[in-house]
Amino acid sequence: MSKISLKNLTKKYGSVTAVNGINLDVIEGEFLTLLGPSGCGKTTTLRMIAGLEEPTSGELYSDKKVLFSKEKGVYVPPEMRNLGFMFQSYALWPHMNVTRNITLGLESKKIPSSEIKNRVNDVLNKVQLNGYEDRYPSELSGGQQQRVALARMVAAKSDIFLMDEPLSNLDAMLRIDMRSELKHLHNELGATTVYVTHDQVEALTLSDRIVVMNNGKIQQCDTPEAIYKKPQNLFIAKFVGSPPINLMKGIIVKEDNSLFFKNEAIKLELKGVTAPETENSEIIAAVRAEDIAVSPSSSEKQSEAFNVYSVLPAGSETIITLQRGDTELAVKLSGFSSTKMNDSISIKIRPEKISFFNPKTEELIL
Amino acid sequence: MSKTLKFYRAKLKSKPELTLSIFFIIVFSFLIVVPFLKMIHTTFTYQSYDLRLARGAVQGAFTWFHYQRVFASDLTKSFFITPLLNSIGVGFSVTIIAMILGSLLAWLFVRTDIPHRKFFQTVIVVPYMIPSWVIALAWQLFFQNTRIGGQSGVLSTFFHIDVPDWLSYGFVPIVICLALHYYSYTFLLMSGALQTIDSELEEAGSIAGLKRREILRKITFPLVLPALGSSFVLTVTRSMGTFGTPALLGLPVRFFTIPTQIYAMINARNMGDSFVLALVLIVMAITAISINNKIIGVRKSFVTMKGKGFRAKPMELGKAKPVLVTLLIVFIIMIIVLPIIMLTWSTFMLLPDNYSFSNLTSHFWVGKSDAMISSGEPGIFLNRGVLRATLNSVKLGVLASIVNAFLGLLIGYSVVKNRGTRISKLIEGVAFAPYVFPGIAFSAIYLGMFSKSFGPIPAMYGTFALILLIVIVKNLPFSSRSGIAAMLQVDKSLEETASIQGIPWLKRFRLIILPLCKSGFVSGMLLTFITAMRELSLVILLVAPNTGLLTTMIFSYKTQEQTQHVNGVTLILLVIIILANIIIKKFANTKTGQSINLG
Ligand SMILES: Nc1ncnc2c1ncn2[C@@H]1O[C@H](COP(=O)(O)OP(=O)(O)OP(=O)(O)O)[C@@H](O)[C@H]1O
Ligand SMILES: [Mg+2]
Repeated sequence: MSKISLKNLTKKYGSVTAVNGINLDVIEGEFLTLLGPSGCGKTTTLRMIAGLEEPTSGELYSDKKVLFSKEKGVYVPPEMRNLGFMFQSYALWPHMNVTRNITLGLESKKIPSSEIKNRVNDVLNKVQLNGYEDRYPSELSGGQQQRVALARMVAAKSDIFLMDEPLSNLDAMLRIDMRSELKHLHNELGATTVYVTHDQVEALTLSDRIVVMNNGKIQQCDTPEAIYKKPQNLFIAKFVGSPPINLMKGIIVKEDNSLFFKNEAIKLELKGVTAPETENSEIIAAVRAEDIAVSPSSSEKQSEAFNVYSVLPAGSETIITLQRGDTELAVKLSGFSSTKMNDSISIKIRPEKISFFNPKTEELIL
Repeated sequence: MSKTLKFYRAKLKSKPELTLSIFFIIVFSFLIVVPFLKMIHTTFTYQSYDLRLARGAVQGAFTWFHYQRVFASDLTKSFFITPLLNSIGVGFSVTIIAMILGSLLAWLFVRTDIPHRKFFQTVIVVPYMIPSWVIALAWQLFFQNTRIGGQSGVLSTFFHIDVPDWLSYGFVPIVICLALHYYSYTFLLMSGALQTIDSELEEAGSIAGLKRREILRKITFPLVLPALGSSFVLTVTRSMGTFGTPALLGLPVRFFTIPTQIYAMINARNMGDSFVLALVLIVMAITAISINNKIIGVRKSFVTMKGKGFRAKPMELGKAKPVLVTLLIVFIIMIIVLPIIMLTWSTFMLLPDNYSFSNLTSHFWVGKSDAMISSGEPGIFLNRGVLRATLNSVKLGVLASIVNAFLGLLIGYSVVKNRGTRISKLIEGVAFAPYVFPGIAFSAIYLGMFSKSFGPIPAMYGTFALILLIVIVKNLPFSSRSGIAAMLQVDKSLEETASIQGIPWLKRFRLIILPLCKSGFVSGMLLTFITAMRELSLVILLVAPNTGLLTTMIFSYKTQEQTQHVNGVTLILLVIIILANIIIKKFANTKTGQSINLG
């Protein structure tokens, strides 16, 4: 069942179209992430859902109730939407201590004071901030402020959480900790969550579904696995995944009743895949770094020897980049590798791991 | 159709900044735009005053008569050219002197190792707090000569120096007295700017191999240019538009500037011509402001740049230090200590030009009415008129500062929340408009508009409410600026997060916005209080016997040549202003003149 529905939602700032006709159904209880590069309209979309920004056109529903629709003459202000919002800057009130920051909104909801007391205890427990009740925001570290903001949102017990890059002001270690805390919290509370980030790892690790946006439009909305494995266009393929997906230009040829993907560096038999029947025309093949296997000699016939351009070990994995002519490939190997710079190496790719894209439309070819 | 209506009703209800904007647009058109249009209308129609001058004139009929008279007639020279040249001469001379003085002092206090910085800094901004014409009063005590009338000053009585006319009245004393007031504006703006410049920028310059003078010219100067621009506009427009000092030091020798000429015309009930002159003053002020915006406009962002505050290593004055400190002390004695001592002393003198001890008396403070002295005016402390004026002035200052501070914040709220829209620009612009209106002309219009009942407003002729109203409106430019500046400091997410949590607007305003704007709010209040207390030209036409203020009382004592009462009441005014300053600063940690910036 859909909890929030965006119907053709558009936002223009003068001549700039920040969000361009978005249609989206957020399913009850899911963790949905809006992912995309800076300026693609993620924040604008989230703020429209919250009611902080007025859409130029389109409609917005929650639980089948209209929240916004010019045609239907409905405008529900943020105060009445009953949702939680977490700002990138946390937006803690600097002149109020932690407790007051949490209770101020609850008082307006006419919740009895004993209940408020319980909730404050409860949420501070959840975010492990007991004992910090009387501190002011300026007396807290960034991570603690972030958790106060989280506690404040949780305490209101609304069933929709909206979060705008809540982790981006934290350092790398803390961010990883908070990811698992957020995921745990979501699991525990079951609130429908719309989460904005431009960090694709964060999106992949946290989400039930990811919406990839670019230029104010939805590129793809799918599970993390599908986004990662079957990106619908080159933009998504390039944006998601680290190291970035390997792209090779080449052509499809038919020899001895088999199809091959071929360029100056590589000739790959496409056995067992329904390869696109676009013989002899340019095509782009994309393959993830971890889907490429290497062998030191050129025993396999699949490719000519590549030159090892760099070796970047990172403990659990090693990224090596290979070069031959204009073709450059990143390969991910587990653990440390004995490969050395300037070694000669040949590669093996399982054909079913390859996605093909039309170089003109940049769309996925089935 | 009704759906659309419903939508906008819902939107209006949930966006208080829209409701506020509509409210301000209505109120401002009533209190600012309509008076301005009325002023223009008056210049284009025959007034009752004109009927005996122009043959066949019909009151209210369209005419170029006033423009012709002011700009192209035998009277042009005395009505327009001479006052204009005098105003421009005074304005620019004052500006040059005040800006040099103010900048040097700012540099001295922010950038060098001058001792007792805090003390000097506090004292040096005293002229900012006191009315500009107080120095003119003191000037007269020193430099008056008997030729022109009135009593003779210290120099001629005491030292038997024959003070030449040009030194006792007219251009020179006006320029000096005004410069000694207006330097404080440049000083405040420039010290602010110099403090916010990150000294690392200059250090980077010296590391890059620039010489000291090159650093000044290429790095420091461009960075303080916005503050200099603001000081220039502020000083030029205010010194050309000021009334008190040119009235005290100019009128006795028929030295007219545009404001005193306007006053003379209005006193003669010649509204048409006076408003033409008022428009001239408005055009000049707008020109100065727009030139400044053109030149400085884009660079403004420099000033708001956050620096680390104080320079780590101030310039060492070395041997110059004792010399500079001495100069500074002499300067302070001459422009603050001596004038105040003189004013005080003069209130104890029975005969105004007899400086012997036997002439001392406390009559003007505590004496009962005596028909032989000051036409029977009782001493200041026993004087009901003075008491009433004191209460009125304080009431005016307190009410205006509270109303203005709130209005300023609300204007700031609707301007900042609607930022980027035309409504926002409109409100900001109109709220600033009263700045360019000459006070006397503005009050003449108000007198005409509100003496009968007007729209929903009852007749307010001679009421305190009318004085309060005009003081509030005239102060809107400053309170709205400080309100906008304060609101810009508050991250918008702080209010948004409250609205998402269902906290209603009034509560958001009270518990979140107001506390976060407190320092801007208080400094706006102080500013309004000071300006309301020293307002003269704006209220002089509006006071009735029972609504007199300290300033108008001083002015009327002055016209009756009751020097001791003039100076005594002036001292009371000074004491109140300085007390208010101390009290407000006790409550909030703010700087004087935080919001005088025009930018
Ligand atoms: N108030 C505004 N006025 C004008 N343009 C705006 C405004 N807010 C956003 N935009 C524009 O709308 C577009 C989308 O902005 P938005 O803040 O939604 O991006 P975003 O995806 O959140 O980016 P980021 O990851 O950098 O936060 C941008 O081009 C931005 O410049
Ligand atoms: Mg954003």
